[in-house]
Amino acid sequence: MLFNSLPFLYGFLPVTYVVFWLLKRKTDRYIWLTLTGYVFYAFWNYRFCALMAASTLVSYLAGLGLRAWDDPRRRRLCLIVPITIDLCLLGFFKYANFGLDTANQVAAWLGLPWYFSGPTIILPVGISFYTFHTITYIVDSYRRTITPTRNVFEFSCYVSLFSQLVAGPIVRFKQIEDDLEHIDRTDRWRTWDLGWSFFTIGMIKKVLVADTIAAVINPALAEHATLSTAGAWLCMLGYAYQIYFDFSGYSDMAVGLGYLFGIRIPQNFDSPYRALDPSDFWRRWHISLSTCLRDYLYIPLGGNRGGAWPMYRNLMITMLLGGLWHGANWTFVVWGGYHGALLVGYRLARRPWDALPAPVRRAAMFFLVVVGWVFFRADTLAMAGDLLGSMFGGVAGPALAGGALLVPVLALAAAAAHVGKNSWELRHQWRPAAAVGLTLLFAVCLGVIYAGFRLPFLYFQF
Amino acid sequence: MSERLGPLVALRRHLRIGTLIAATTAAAALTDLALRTLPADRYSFRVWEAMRTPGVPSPFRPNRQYHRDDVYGNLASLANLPGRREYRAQTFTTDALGYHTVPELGGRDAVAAILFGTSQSAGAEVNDDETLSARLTAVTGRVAYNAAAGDQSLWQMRALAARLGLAEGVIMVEPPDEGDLPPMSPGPGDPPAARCGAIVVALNLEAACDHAVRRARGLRVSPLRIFAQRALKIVQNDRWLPNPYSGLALQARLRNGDTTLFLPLERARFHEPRCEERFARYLSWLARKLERDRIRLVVVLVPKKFTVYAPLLDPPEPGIDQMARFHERLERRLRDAGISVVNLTGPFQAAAAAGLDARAYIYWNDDTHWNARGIAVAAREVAHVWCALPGAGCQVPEPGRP
Repeated sequence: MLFNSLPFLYGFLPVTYVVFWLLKRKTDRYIWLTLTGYVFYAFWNYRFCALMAASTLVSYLAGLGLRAWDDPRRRRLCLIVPITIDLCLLGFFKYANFGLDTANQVAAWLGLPWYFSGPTIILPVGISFYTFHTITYIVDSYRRTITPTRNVFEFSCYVSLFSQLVAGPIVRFKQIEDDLEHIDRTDRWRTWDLGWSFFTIGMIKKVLVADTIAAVINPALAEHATLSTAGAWLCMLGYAYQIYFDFSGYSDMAVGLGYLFGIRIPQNFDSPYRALDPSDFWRRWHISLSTCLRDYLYIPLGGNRGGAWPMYRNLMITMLLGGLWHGANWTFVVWGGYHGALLVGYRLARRPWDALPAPVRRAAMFFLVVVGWVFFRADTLAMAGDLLGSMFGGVAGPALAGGALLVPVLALAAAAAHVGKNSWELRHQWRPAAAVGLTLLFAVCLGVIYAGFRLPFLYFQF
Repeated sequence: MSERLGPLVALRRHLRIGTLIAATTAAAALTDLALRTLPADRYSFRVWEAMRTPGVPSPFRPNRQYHRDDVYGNLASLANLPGRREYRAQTFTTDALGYHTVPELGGRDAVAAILFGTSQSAGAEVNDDETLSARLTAVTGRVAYNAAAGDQSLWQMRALAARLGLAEGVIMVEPPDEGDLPPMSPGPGDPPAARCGAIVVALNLEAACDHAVRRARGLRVSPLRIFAQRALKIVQNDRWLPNPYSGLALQARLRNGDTTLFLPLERARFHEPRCEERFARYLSWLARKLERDRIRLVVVLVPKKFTVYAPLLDPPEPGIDQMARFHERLERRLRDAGISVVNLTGPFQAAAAAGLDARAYIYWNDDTHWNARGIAVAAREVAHVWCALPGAGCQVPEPGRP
């Protein structure tokens, strides 16, 4: 079920909301949110609910062990076993076919008479997100950053909270622990307007901006071999804004929905296209993932400790794995490697880079990010090569079909992304005229949803 | 003064984003529900969507008349090509049984033939007096009842024949596509018990059940969705936004310079060899069963629009027309089995070629269906075969008569 769908807006959300506020006891609300999370998930594929339940139960039991035991060996066991199970599940469902395909390609390349075949595995939606939820919970419990909960429903509510279940943000337990603890004492009306404001802005970003851009660039990118230089740049600029407005729109909707239930979901985007350098970009883009990668991978690898070369190695490993987390495709690995290289390059050339005027750094950083999106968007490395060839090769060709709306939408998107305030910089206290204006835009979104012009959120695939 | 400003202050208090968005969502949901209870002819652009009642044996809403001055073809609609629309007026009347037959034709003792078939035979895109059955009635002087677009099972044929008092008459069948061929079973294609439940059938409440099914099906259609789609399609015009529907129709130029639309599937079928075995077996079985009831079967093979106009395209479609071959083989098989067959491929190709320079088309340019001119050609050919049957009691039309 998508947030930008009628079953969600007319059925799921009102029922979930009304029953939630009718329930008074903390545990009842945990149970209700858990139940609705599973119903929300089951709309995609009910069979994988058992997988999420199993992952939840294993992590919950590990948390109980970490809460009860001080013995380092037992604690290590409570850390390693559930994380191994989680990663095995993730590895099987997300990367098994990728591994087999790669092995077959290598065998063919080496001329070896081997062919590995396996079953076609369906990727359970959101597995990358809820696996990260459970892993961060176990690691934080092990590190004693949090006190693991005894209440199984509180934990299952955290894992299966519908607003962040299938496409994040990756919310750590400690970030919403307080809100979950006081879920029975929250004031419904205090965050009512704030929640709807975030939700509406997210909906407008997704439906009116991201999907409009996608409507023009997707058909053009499907015929990527015929793109001219201008067309390829328009497509990749379009994709840069599409992915930002799509994913930050989803995050805003998740934050808004969280507020409607008294749960404060943290910020996931902080105007990333205003970034001055690669480090700044990763402080602003998909913050919940980048901080997870930093805290649970980069720092355990050694982080900045041990000199320059170990730090570059750690950066590259982190970004390559971060790229691979996005999907089982070499294009994502290359994208991760590209950003790793940018981070290393920035470390090497920090002084001259930082000496440049801020607008130049912003523009240069945006240019580098757009080039990086080529690998992220391409289905194959060959397609990425075609696109880069078109972008930098001076290829003539026809204009994008049906692109008259693209330029004004891109201009609006660019103004909002580079100059405008982001959702977290707004006060969300709208004057009546502004509130009516936003409502009218929301009504247009509803019309577009009714028309069936609806694309899934890009991050659902991860 | 402050008293006068009171309502304004209260209004401003309600103009909060949370209240407005929640109210807008609720209002949209309620509007959607309310609009679903409206009759579909208020917002449909053609009769098919307005009058069809899938799920019940009668194909259309009974005792209704649909009239619009600006209907247009299904392909122009499907592919979102407003420039290709050919607007025309259409009057479409149904009788008490829900068929596209003007009530006076359904007189119990008058029916000499019943026509079963697809939307072509039903006259989906033509007026009441232009359908194949209406033209047959006019040409032969015998009443041909239009039962097309509904259930084609043997059970339904027998039930309707009994209801209309068709004794020793003719049943004409324009076979559907292979996937829609009814099962070779004397039972109903869609048993009332399965549709309504055994208790309803036992209580003889089938009519009420069918009415409820029609109402429930009607509620599934969201006018709000239709309005929204229409509004969005205005900007999905390959100028503001790409037209994602354009691939649903094939635009092709005729030898006379005009453009006509085809269903892409028809072009694919033109090149795909098909086997006639299943059709031949089914129609032979049907003929035998009807013969026991002293009813003669006449099979009418209607070519697809692409088959008719492929030789007239600029350039002509290359390759062998597999649909035409399929009809030829089926015609032969049926004739060998002693079944009367009317294969319209040849007459239609000839009529289309003859009318090309004068732009006298036999299919609508923006639709998959034949028009009144095409139906007139079909009626002449069918009447010729019908009237040649022993005991048909009708005049054989003179050759060349329009």
